[in-house]
Amino acid sequence: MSHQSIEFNKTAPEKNQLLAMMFEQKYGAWLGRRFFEVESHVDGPVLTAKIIIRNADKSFFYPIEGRMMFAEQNLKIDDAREFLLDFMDAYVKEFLSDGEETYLAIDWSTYTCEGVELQLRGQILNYKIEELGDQLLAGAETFN
Amino acid sequence: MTSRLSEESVVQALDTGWQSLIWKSTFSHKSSELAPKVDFTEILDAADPEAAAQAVHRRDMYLALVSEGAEVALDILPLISAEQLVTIMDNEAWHDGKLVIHQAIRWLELYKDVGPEQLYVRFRQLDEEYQVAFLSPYIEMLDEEAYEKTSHDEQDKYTAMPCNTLWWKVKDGDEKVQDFVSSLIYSSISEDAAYIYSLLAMAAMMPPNEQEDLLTQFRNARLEEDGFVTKDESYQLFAPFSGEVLYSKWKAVGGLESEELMASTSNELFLDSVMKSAMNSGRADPQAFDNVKRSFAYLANAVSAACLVEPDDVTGLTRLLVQTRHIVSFGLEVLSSGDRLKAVEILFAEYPKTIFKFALSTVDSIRKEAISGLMVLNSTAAQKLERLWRAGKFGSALWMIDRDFGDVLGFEGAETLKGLFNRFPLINDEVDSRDGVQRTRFRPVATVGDYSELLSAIRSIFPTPSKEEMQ
Repeated sequence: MSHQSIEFNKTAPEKNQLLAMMFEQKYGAWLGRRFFEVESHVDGPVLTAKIIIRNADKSFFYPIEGRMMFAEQNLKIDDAREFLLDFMDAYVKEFLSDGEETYLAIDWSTYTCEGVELQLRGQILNYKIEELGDQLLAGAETFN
Repeated sequence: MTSRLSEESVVQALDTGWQSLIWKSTFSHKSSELAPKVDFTEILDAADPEAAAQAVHRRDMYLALVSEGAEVALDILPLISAEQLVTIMDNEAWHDGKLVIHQAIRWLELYKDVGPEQLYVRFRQLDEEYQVAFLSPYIEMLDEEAYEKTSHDEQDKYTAMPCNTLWWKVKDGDEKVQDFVSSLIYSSISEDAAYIYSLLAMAAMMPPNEQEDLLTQFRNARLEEDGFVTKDESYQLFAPFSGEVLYSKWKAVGGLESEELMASTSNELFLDSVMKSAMNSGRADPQAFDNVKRSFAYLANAVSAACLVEPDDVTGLTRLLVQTRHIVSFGLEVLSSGDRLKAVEILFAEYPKTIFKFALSTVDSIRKEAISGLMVLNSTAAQKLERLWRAGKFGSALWMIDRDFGDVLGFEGAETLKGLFNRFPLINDEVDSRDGVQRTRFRPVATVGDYSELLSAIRSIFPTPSKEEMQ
C-alpha cells in the first residue's frame, strides 16, 4: 500500500481515504486481515468522525466515533478534524497495542484535551452473527 | 499538540520494523516466549512458598505476574522479594524515560488490599530514590512558624504530624495520587514514625527531578542486566557488520550431521530443530538449554530501544522475539550450511546477537544489488536511499521508496523493496485487494529458501544486464 501526505485542499472523502491508509501504515502489525475506514462529516456546529476497524465479512466491526462542537470552541473545521482524529488515534493505539482490551463506553463520554472538549463512544459488533441470527429467526418464523 | 497523523508519525512507525507493515510468521511460535513459565500453584503448594517465589528469576516473576494479571495473583505478591518488587517498578512505573506515579500506585495499592501495613512495608523496600521521587512532587511541609502565618482556610488543608510542630499536605495530583500519598503517610506513622519524618523532610526539600534523574541511572543499569541496552547500542545491532570472518571460521569446521537426528517438521524453524537436536544429542543439559532460550529474550530486549518498544510492552517484546528468532534462524542455517549438529556447536559458541548481525549482513548483499538497480532509474534518489539505509534510518527509507519509486516500480516492486529495506527483512507473502486498495502481507526472512526468493524477486525487478547489453 502506498501513501501520500495529507493535503488539506483535498475533499473530505479523499482525505478520509488517505487517513485510512495512514492508519494502516501505522498499525499494520496488529491488523491481520482487518482494515481501516474513516468517515467524517459536519452537521451545523457539530463535527463527527468515525474510525472503523473491520474485516471483510464484518464479523469484526468496531466503529470508534468522536464528535465535537468545533465552532463554539473557536476551531476551524480542518483544525478541529485533525484534533479530533489525533485524539481518536491515541485511543486506537492503546486499543490495538494493549491486547484489544481497552474499551470505550457504548454511550457518549466527554473528554477534555488541551482545553478542548470532545466526546467518544464505541462498541465492537459482529454483523455476521447478527445476520445468522436474523436468518435463524426468519427460519423459525417460517417453521411456525 | 503534535499531529499523530503526520508524515513524521508514520515514518516513526515504519522505523520500528515490526509495527507498520502487515507481517505474519508461517512457523510455529511455541518457542517464542520471553521467559520460562512460572507455576504459581506450585509456589503456593511448596513447603516454603516465600522461598519458592523468591527463587524465581526477578524478570521471569515480573512477566509471569503481568501475564497472569497482578490482580489475579494477589496470593503471590506478598511472597516476592524486594528485588522482584523493584523489577516491577523498573518496568511498570515508567513511560518514555519518565516516572509515572499512577502506574506505581496500581501495583502498590494491591499491597494495601492485602493489608494496610503491607503498603508501608513494601514502599519502604523500594530504593530510597524511588521513595523520595514518588513523594517529592506531591508533598508540602510547614513548620510551626510558617503554619501560623497561613490563613485559617489554608491551615485546614494541612495535617499535623504526631509532634504537632510540623504539618503536611498533598499538593497537586489527582484524587488517586492524593489518596495514595495520604494512605502511605498514615500507615507509615503507625508503623515507624521516625522513618516517615525523615522521608517527608527529604521529599519536601529535594530539588525537583533530582531523585528521578539519579533513579534513571540506577534503573538503566538494572535494565541493562536484562538486555535492555541504550538506544545507541541498540541501533548498533542493525549497523553494517562484516560477516566473512565468522562465515570462514565455521566453514572450516567440517560437517557433523549424523543420521540419528530427529527430522524437523515443515512448520518448525531451523533454530527450533537445532535446539531439539541439542537436547537429543546430549550436547545441552536443561540449564544450558534454558540459558540459550534466555539469551534470545535478551536479544529481543536489546533491539527494543531501536524498535521503540518499552520494557513493559510484553506484546511488543514478544513480536521482537519472533522477528529476532527468525533472522537468527536464517543466519544459523547459513553458517552451518543446514547441518544441525554443526548449528548446535555454533549456537553454544556464538552470541545470538553475533548470528543476528551476521544474518542481517547477508541480506545487505541483496540491498546493495537493489541500490545498483535503482541507480539506473533515479541515481539521486537511489543514493539518498542508500544513505538512509546505511545510517539505519529504515523508516525514512521505506517512506522514500513509496514516494520516489512507487510509480516507477509499480505496487509489487515497491512493496518488495519495502520488505527488503525493512529493519527486519521481510518477504512478500501475498497481496490482496479491496475497494481498489492493494495490501501486501509479508513474512520474515527465516530460511535460505526465503533469502533466495527475495533475491529472485529483486532480480525480477532489476534484471541483471546480459553480456551483450553490458557491451
